[in-house]
Amino acid sequence: MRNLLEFIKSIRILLLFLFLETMALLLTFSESAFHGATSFQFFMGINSRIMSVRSDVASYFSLREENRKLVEENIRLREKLKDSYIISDKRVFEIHDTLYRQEFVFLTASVINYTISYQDNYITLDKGYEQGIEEGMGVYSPAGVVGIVDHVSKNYCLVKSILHSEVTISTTVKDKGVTGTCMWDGVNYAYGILKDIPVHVKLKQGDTLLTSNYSSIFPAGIPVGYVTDFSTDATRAFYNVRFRIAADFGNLSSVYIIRNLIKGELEELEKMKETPDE
Amino acid sequence: MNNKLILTNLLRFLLAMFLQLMIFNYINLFGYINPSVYLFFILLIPFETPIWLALCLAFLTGFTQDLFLSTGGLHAAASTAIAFLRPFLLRTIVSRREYESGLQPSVSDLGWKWFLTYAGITIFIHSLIVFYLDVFRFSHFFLTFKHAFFQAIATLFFIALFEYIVSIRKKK
Repeated sequence: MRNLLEFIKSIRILLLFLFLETMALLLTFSESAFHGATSFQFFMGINSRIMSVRSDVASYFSLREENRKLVEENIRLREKLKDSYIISDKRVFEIHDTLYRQEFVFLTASVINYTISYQDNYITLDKGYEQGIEEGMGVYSPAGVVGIVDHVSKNYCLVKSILHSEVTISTTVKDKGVTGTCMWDGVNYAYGILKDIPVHVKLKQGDTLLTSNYSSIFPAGIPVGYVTDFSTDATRAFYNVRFRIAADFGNLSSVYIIRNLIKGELEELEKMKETPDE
Repeated sequence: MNNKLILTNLLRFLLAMFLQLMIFNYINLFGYINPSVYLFFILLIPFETPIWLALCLAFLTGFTQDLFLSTGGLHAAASTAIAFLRPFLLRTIVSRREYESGLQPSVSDLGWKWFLTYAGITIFIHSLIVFYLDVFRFSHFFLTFKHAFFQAIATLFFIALFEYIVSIRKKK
């Protein structure tokens, strides 16, 4: 017994090292161990508060750039307004428009912290459940899609950015009518990968990739990226498309969070196919 | 004397974390180089510190960085590993002076050649661990190596710069 104690004493440094290392690896590889911990909310509250001071100061330096992006987005939206169209068919004229009801509402948020150099990158925003943010909401910047809300605390939320190995976005190629899945391969923060585009589609460089209307997270038509190059994959039936990510991850400051008003209804409906009535 | 040492190290910890969290975490050269300057705190832990304390301090430093970056325990794992390897490394690198108590593992006490070897090896091991742990499920072996290498160079550059500024001030 004494020998055993002596032995343990002689390797106590090694044991401490192995203990700390196991803890670190557990936190690295099990996301629930890190984010699921009750202390996580507490830490997130503290570091978010520190980072928001920093981002308040830093945001002044990017005002000009931010303004340019907003103007560009305004132009894009203005082009969609009824005023920008002339009526081509004089016989049909519609005045009352009750066919539409609002599906998406938008909230603004400021980015207070983000990373781009890892395989799984996160963004911290200054809105939490007090402001009505829930897990699974979409986030996009004036330039394009940014990510999906992953964890929410009282006044802050943590967003899985599209630079995360688990995030996929349903994407269509503009004017081509085909839908694929876009993801990130972890190599370069400026480029993403689009899969499942059949080879019969005539792609070209510079084609715009937009969010598809199959997603209940993002409204259709938000820019995701611009095609830079493409090749056929191993099956020769689909393209592997590389695209430049529309959102500027080198400089993120203001983003929109999207709430889908009918998502609950959609999910309830889709649940029915899994559990049929008896 | 001992109190002064603790105070200096505490201040150094705060300075390292402040620079890392407020400035260097926002530097993303080429999209992947994110200098880990907080390592200068771990590098400069005094020789007479017990190893168990050095391990715990390194873990805490790394974990603070992880909390801010949402990277789980990536930096904690790498920092603990270099703190564990440090005694072996110190035994291997020959110094022109004995490692006696009161001596700091810094440029002003042991010279540039010694410091750059010591810091270079430590930082390189740290970068390798961070990058390979991060891309665990990926196959880009050489790309990861390249990333880790340039990250280590950038980190070493900034830490050497700090050391340079400190050593100039000490001479005056």
